[in-house]
Amino acid sequence: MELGPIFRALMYNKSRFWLITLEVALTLAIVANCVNLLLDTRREFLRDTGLDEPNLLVISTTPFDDAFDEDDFVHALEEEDLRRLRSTPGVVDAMAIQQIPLSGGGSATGRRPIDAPPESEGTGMPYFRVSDHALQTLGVELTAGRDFAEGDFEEREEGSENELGRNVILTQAAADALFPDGGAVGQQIQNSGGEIVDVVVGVVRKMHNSWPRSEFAANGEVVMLKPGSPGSAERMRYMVRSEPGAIDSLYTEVEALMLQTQSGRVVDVQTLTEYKEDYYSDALVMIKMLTSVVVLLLVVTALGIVGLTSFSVTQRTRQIGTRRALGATRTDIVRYFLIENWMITGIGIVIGIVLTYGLNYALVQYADVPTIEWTFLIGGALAMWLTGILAAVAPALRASTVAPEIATRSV
Amino acid sequence: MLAYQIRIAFKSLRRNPLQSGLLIAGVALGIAISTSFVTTYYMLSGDPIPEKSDRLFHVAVDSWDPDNGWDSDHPEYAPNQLTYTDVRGLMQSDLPTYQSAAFKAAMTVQPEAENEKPYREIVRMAFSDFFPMFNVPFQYGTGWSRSADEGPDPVVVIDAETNRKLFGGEDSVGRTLRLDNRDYTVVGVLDEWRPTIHFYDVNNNPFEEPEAIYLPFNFVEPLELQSSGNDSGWKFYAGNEFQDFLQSESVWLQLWVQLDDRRQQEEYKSFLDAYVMEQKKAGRFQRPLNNRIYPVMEWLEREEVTPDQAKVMLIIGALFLIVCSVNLIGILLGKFLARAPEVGVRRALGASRTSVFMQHLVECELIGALGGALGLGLSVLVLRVINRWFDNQFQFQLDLTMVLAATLLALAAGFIAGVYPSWRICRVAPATYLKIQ
Amino acid sequence: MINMQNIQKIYRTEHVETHALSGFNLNIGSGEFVSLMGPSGSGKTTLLNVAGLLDAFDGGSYILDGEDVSRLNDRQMSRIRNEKIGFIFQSFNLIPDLNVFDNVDVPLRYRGLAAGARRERIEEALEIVGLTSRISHYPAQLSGGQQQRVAVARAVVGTPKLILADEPTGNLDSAMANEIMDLLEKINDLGTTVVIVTHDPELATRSPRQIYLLDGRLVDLEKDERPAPLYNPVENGTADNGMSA
Repeated sequence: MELGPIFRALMYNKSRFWLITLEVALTLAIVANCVNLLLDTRREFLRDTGLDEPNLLVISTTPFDDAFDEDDFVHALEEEDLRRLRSTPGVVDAMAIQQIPLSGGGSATGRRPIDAPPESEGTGMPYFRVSDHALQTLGVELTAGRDFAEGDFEEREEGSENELGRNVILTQAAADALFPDGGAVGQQIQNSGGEIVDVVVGVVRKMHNSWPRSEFAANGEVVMLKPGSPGSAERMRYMVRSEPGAIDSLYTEVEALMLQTQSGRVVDVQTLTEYKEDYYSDALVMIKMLTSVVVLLLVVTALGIVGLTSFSVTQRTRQIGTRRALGATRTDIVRYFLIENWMITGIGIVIGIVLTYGLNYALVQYADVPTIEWTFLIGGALAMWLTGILAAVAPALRASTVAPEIATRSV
Repeated sequence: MLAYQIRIAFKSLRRNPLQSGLLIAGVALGIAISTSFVTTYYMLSGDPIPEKSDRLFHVAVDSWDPDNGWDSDHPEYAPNQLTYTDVRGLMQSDLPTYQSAAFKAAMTVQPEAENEKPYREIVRMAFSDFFPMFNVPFQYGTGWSRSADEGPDPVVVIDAETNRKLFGGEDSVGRTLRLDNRDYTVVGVLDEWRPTIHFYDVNNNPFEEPEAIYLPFNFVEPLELQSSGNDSGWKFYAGNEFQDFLQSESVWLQLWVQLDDRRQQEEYKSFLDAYVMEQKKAGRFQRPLNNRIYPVMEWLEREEVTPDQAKVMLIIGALFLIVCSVNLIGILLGKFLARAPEVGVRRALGASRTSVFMQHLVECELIGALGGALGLGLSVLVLRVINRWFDNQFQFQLDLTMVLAATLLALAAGFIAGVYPSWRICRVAPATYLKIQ
Repeated sequence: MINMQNIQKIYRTEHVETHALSGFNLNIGSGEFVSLMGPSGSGKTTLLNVAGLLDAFDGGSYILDGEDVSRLNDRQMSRIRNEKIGFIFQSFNLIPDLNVFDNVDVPLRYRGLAAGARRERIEEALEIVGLTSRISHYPAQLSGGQQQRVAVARAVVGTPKLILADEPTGNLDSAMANEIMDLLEKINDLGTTVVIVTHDPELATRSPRQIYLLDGRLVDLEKDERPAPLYNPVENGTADNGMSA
C-alpha cells in the first residue's frame, strides 16, 4: 500500500482536498441530524399507544335539535346508539367517550393521593369519561385490580357525600406518578380542593391520552378513565372497535345507522388513525421534507465529488501516464484514486462528526430537538463513505484508461 | 466594460453546456430549497398584521391559583386567557380605541335547502370591534354595530367560503342563516382572509384558518355556549348550571385591545391595576399584582407559536445552500484552471490580473444570477409541493421580500463561490504557457 | 538487449493510415550506449514507445532481454516496464505533488519492496545524481537540471537493464545537458544499456553508436561518417500542463 505518498501528495495539493473534505463534513452533519430528527419523529409517531389503533373508528355527533337539551333524552339515546352499534356485524365492541385519544383535543384535571400534604403539587391528569365496555373497545390491557362493574356507572344522588367521586381506572404511568411505591389499587385520590375523591379500582398497562406529542403527563401516558355518561347536548361521541378488515365497510355504514336511530344531529365518522395523522400532520410533512433534503443533499455531494475527482484526474493525466510508464498497472491507478478518495472522505467524516455534534447542539438549544444518537452518526458516516466511494469509481476508472505513452508526448 | 465581460462570460458558459447546466442547476437547487424553507419559516413566524401589530395588545391578568403559578417554568406569566367575570369587568373600560373579548364555539349550520345536510362549523363569538381592530376585509356589507353587541341582535357575519356554500357567492346581506335552530340575519360577508398565523387566538392550532362564522359575543349567556377551544381551571366550583361555570375561575376567553399611543397604553395599564386591586378586596386575585399587555409579536413569542420544525428547516435550508456553494467552488475551480493556458496567453497579451479576476467573477455572478432565476421558479414548485403535503392548510408563497432575498442570496452565493477560483486563475503567470518547461 | 524484427506500427484515424514504422529491425546489445536521431515525424517517439512497451505494435517480433514481449497483456507489460526499463523524459515528468524522495520511490512502490530496502535504494540513487541534500524538496523548488537529475535517479533506482531517455536534455541549457550526459555515461559504465533520443548532434557524438531514423527506417552511422544535419535541430514543442498545485 502506498498510503504515505498518497497522503503527502494530498497535503501538498490542499484546495481539492479541503473542498471535498468540507463538503463531506457539512453533508454528514446535515444528513445525520436530519436522519436523527426524522427517525425520532417517526418513532414518536409509531410508538405503542396501548390502543387497538388500526381497528378503531370514531363517531362524533353534534346535536342541533332542542330535544337534546334534555339530559334523560341524551342518556337514553346513548344507550340505544351503543346497543345498535354493538349488534352491527363486524363490530367487536363500542363505547361512548367525551374526548378522543391521540387527537390533540382532550380534557385534563389534577389529582393527588388523599393523604398527600395539601401544599404538595398534584399530578396533571388527562382523563376520559367513558361508558361501559371501555377497556374491551379500546383494546387496553388490565394489569391490576378490576374492570368497571355495573354500579360504577350510576350517577350518585345529588347532595350525597362525595357526589362527584367515582371508581376510576388509571394507566400504569398515572399509577406510578401518584404512587411511586406501587399499590395504587384501592387508594383514594382527590382534586386540589378536595371536593372530589375517587377510588382507584384498576390499572391498565398503557393507553395514550389526547396529547401524546406533549411532554405533559409523562409523554401522554398518564390517563384516568372515569365511568359515567359522556354524552351531552353539545356532543356525543362513540368509539367502535371493528373486527380486523371490517373497518372500511363499517366506516361507510355507521353514519346512516346513527341518523336512522335519531336525526337532528350532524354525524362525522373518522378512523382513529385519521385523527392521529391529523394531530401529527406537521411532523409527517417534516418527515417528507427532511427525507427530500437528505436525498438531494447526497446527490449534490456525490455529483460534487464526481466533479472534483474528474477534474483532478484530468489535471493529473500526465502524472498518470508517467506512473503507468514507471510500471503501474491499471489496477494500481484505480486503487490510487480510490484510496485517495477514501482518505479525503474519511477525514471529512471525522470533521463531520464534530460538526454533527455542533449542529445538534445548536438545534437542541434553538429548536428543542432530540440529542443525536451515536447509531445515526455511524449510519450517516457509512452513508457518506459509500457515497464517496461510489462517486470516485467512475473518475478512477477513467484515470486507468490513460495510456502510458502520454508520458512521452511533449504536449 | 461590464457589458463586454458579461458577453464573454455568456460565451464561456456556452462552450461547455453540460458543465454550465450542472453549475446553474446546482445553484438553482440550493436557492430553491433554502428559499422555500426560509419562506415557510418566515410565514410561520412573521408579523401577521404588520400595519398595526405594535398597537394591538393581548390583555393578561393573573387570576390564577395563589399556590401554583400558571407556568412553573415562567413564574412571571399570567394565564393565557381570562375568566368570564374579568372580561365583563374589563370590557367596561372606554379607554381602548377598539376592544373585543372572543372565543370559539362549535355550532350546527342548517342550510335552507332541504337536500343540504346540516353541518358543524366553528363560530367565533366576538364584539363588533373585532372587525375594524384586526382589519378584517369585507366583500359585502360590514360587521355589526356596537348597539347590536348590547342586544344582542341576531346578526351574523360569514366568510366567503360559507357564502359560496350557502348562498352561491352572491351578496347575501339581509339573508337568513340558521344556526342551532335559531335564525340570524347576515350583515356582512368577509373577503378572502387568511392570516398564516391565527394570531388573535393561538390556543389550539396557531395556524388554523379564521373561523367561518361570527356572532355577537353576548349570545354566550342565552345560548349557554361553551368554548370549543381550551378552558383551564384551578379552583373547584360547585353546581352544574351554566351560570356556575360563568362565575368560576376558569379561564377560556381572549381579550384584545387597540391602544394607539403611549399615554393610552399607560392609562389602560393603570386601569388594569385598579381593576385587580378592586377584585383583591373581594377575595379574588390572591397572587402578586401581575398585569401585562402584550403587543402581537411579543404575545406570539411568549406563546411559542413558531414551531420547532420550522426553525429546524430554516437552519437545514441555509446549510443546504452552503453545501451547494462549496460544490460550486470545486466545479468552478476545475473549470477555470482547465482554462489556464488560454488565460496565460491573454495575460501575455496584456490582460491585467484585475481584469482576469473580474472577468471570472462576472462569469460566477452570471451563473449565480441564472441559477437564482431558475431557483426562484423551482421554489414556487417546491412550495406547491409543501402546500400539498400540508393538505393546503397553509398557502406558502413567495412575496416580494423573499424574491429579493433569494436574488441577493443567489448573487452572494455566486460571489462567495467565485472569489477563490477567480483569484487562483488570475494568478496564472503569463510566461508559463509560452515556453517549454 | 533489444532485438526487433520486422516491426509494424500503424496509426489509424477514420480515414488515414499512417505507417509510422514498417518492417523495422533493430538490434542493440547489452551494455551499449546508443543515440537515436532523426527529424520530426521520423518515428523516434514511436520507436521509443514501442521499445519501452508504452505502446503496442501491429506486427513483427520484439525480444527484450531474452524475453519475447510481442504478445503480452497490460499487466505483464507494466511489470516489465517496472523491472527492466528506466525512463527519462524530455519534460522530466516528475510528480509535482511529491517531494524528491517520494518521486524516486514511485517505481519501487509498484514492486512491493520493504520500506527499509526502498529507502536504501533511493538514497543510493540520489547519491549517484548528487541530490541527497534535496531529498525533501518539491519539484517546483528545483532547477530544471536538478529535476532531470531526480528523474535520472528515478530511472535507475529500480536497477533496470535498459534506460530509455527521450530528449533528456531538450529542456536544459548546455551546461546542464552535459551534466546529464555525464550521468548517463556513468550509469552505462556500470553495465546498463542506455538508449537516448536527441536532436543535439553534439550530444549524440558522445555516444559510441548513433542511429539515424528517417521515415520509419534505420540508418546506422559510424562516428566519422556523420552527415551534416538534415533537419532543424531546434524542434519546437508546446509545454505540458504544468498547473498542479
